[in-house]
Amino acid sequence: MIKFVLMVNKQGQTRLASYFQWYPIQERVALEAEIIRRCLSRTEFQCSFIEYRGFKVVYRRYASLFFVVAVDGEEENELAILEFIHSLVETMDKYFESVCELDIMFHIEKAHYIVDEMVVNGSIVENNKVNILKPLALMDKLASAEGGIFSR
Amino acid sequence: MDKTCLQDHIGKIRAALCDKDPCVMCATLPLFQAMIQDDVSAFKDLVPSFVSILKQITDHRLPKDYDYHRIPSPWIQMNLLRLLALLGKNDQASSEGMYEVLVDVMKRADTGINIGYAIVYEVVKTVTTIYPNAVLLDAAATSISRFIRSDSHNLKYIGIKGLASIVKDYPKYAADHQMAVIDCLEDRDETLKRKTLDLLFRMTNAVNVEFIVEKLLSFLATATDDHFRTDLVGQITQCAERFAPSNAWYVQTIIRVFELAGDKVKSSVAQTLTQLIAEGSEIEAEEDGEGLSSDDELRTEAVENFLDLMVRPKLPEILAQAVAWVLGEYGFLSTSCSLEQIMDKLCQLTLQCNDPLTRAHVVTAISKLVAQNGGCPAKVLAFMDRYSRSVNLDVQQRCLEFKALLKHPNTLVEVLPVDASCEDIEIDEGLSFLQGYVQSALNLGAKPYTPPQHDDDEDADEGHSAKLKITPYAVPTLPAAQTNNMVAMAGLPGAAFVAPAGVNNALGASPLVALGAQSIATSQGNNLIGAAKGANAVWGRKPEPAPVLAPTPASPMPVQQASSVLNSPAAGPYGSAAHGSSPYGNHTVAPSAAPAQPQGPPAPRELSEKEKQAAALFGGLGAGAAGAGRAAKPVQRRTVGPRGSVTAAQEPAVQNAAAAHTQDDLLAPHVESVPAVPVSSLLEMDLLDAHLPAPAPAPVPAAVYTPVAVPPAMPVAPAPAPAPAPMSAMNNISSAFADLLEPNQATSSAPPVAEPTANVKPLVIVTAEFGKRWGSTPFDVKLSIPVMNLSTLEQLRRAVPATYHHVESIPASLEAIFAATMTSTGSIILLHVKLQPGRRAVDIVVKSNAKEICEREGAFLAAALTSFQG
Repeated sequence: MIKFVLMVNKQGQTRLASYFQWYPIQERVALEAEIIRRCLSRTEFQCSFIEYRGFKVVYRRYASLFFVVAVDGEEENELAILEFIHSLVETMDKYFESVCELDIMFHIEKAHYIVDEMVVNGSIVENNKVNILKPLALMDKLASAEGGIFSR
Repeated sequence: MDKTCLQDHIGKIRAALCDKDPCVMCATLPLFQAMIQDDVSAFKDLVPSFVSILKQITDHRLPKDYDYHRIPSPWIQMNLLRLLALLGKNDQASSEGMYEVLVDVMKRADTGINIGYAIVYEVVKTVTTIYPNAVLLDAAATSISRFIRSDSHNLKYIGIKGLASIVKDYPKYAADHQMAVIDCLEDRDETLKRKTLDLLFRMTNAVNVEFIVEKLLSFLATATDDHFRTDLVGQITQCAERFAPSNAWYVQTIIRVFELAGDKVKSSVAQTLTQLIAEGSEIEAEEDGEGLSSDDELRTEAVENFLDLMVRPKLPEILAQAVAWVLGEYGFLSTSCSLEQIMDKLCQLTLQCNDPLTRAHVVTAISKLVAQNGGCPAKVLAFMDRYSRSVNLDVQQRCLEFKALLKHPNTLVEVLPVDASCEDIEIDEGLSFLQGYVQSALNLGAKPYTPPQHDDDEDADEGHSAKLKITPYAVPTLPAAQTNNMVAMAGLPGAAFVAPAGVNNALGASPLVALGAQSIATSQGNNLIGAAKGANAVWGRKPEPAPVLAPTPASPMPVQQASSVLNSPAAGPYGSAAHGSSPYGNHTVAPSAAPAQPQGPPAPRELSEKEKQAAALFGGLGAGAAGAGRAAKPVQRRTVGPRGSVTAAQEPAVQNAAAAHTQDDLLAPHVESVPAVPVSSLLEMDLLDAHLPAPAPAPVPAAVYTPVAVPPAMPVAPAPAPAPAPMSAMNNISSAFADLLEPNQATSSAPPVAEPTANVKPLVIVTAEFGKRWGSTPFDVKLSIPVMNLSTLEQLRRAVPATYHHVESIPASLEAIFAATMTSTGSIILLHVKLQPGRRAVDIVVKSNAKEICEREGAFLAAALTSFQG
């Protein structure tokens, strides 16, 4: 089961955090700080997997942003999670068109929608980009329609 | 995820699995994973579904959108693989259904990209979990070796993981990769090292244990992460315990573990250690040997080690306790320190430790040493004085005991013998050594001891009333019985939520029943459909213990639902029914209403050997067909029965309301026994009845019953084969009239009770026919007749009057069936007798189309049986 999905930049600022298991706020802050510290200290020639406090952290660095996914259990397939991170980035890329950290900062809710479509209660359920982005497309259409309640 | 919430929706979730939208299907997979992890057996039937879905996915049948780098829906594939692994574990049959698709998946996933490797790894995991298959294992091992030898660290990691899962059960595959594994161990990458350590741990055997434990210890020395250290300690102790080459090595290893991470060691480990030192190994215990036996060597070494340990400033508590104990027991073995010095050290030890338990250990140890020493040094006395005022009672007690014992040095030595930790202490329960004291007290005039009186027992008896009543309640009235049956039924299909209700919410339970959707429930109210279970298609439809038991335990039923849910659903009501009163004591009003029970195990158990007979007899009609055959009759109740448990829920309501109507319905198919004659001729028959000579039993072809009572002039009865649908209309009418007419006939044609059998003639039919009739006759009377002279089945046969034709008897269960017919109306009388030698009674069931006939025959038979001589 996926415990949480984080997007943290190199300065340690969390850009997106989606938790599927509850942790108190202080614990979350400490967790994120510790994890990013560990990730930063690793080189490129090491595994993308860290064992941390009983669960496994899978991370990957895209430009200035670290994508971190924590899974628990011996059962989980870490390579699959790594590829899931990549698929998440690809989906965001498709939507935002060449995604960067700023996109996530300014459209945080869209990023959350995407993550929520792909992962439900800790399990990966969807990887079809069309399906994932459909709700977002609908929302965008409504937002841009004239005279509707969602119009700007 | 709370699994109990899912119970309601299992049906919907299963349906969603086959939904044409792949998204829906994908969404159900995590739910299945959760449910299967709880209960594997309930979902074994899904293996073919999952296999076929997986096949379709790998065949690129999904739209292109689902592809990720040209691999279709990889995470769904992996989810399915996980599900298959769960289902195939330890199950050869299920596993065999998967082999082909696994090979397929592995082949197609073997592209050059990471996601392909992820799928391959998942296949490897599945292959090692399910029932083994050589081809797959070889393929898995090949993939693993490719991973391990690759350059990418991630792949090495996955390879090590895969190897760990293989090597547990098939160690030979590990041998090829030793060098690669050692490389990984030396790698700079911390994660990889840890994973390799894990692999080593799994690979441990007696040969390599020392090397591996050495490695683990070295890691333990440098590790800082708490979780990691706890894991390591656990692993080391496990390895050491399982594969220790020698006791000495084991003791040393454990001591080292204590040194490095004593706070993480479980106390059970310390226990084992001390036990080992105390008992030594059995082989060498008898050695007299020159000098010290190896046991003693072990102990001496342990003692020396511990003495060195004590120098350290801070010992973990468990270790301190172990040290104290060992030194107390075996301190005399030490050559480096004298006993007094040991005692000194122990005193100092207590100054450092905080745990009172440790102090207690030390106190005892010192006591032992003093006993061995023969004299008590001043320091020790001061020490004991100090702690005799300890807040902790245990410590205080020990100190005070010691001081008391000091006054009797001989006792001290006896009480604390050397190296006797393994010997049992003999206890004199009679406390005979106090006899002298008692005697002297008695001499001085003390009252002798009187044990407590038995008047306490009366209180105990009164307390009986507070005990739980296990006798069942009285038979409830019919409507209640049926609703209770509803509850019983609802309780069956895994409805754990019904049990807590414990309330007779019969109709409220029906939607739950609907979702339960098990055929067991459908048998309620329906002999025939219930008998669709082949087990009961023995003498046609005769699960008589079942139906009658239903009303009796009705009230205890809610209480016992919890247990009935836990038991197999079929056994549930029987479990509770066992408490019920004798089924034969009751009348069932509408037998169709009564059998709310599933045709569960007890009935078929006693009839099981006859299943084969039934199968042979019914031939082409399978169990389901037999039931379906009946269901084909124009009784909509029944046709709905086998499928809809929902309708089963409605049935009691139907029965409640329409008890009268159902009788008509029941008669409709039963009409086979009554010729499809116009009503008028039926009337004629009545008039003619009295004048007709008793016709000889018409020759009866195997499965055809021609009503004996009908004069040959009458049209021949319809074929008794199932589905007299075309004649149903007519039959309904005639049967309705027959119903009305029968009582008249009964009273008019039946002579007074003295000779009740005047119009009863033997009916020559065979078991198959009997079976068919049995289900369709609406009325029955059950009696339990105490008999004095009947003890064998043969006697029973003779006891039954000759007006009954003996159809069959089963010696194994002391049962027999008979058939007869009323000459006047052609209504048949079916009789089942069962000898109960234990109770000295005979249970009979008389079934017929009319209540009066049943009762009359029942009474007659009762008289006949009781008066049977010899």
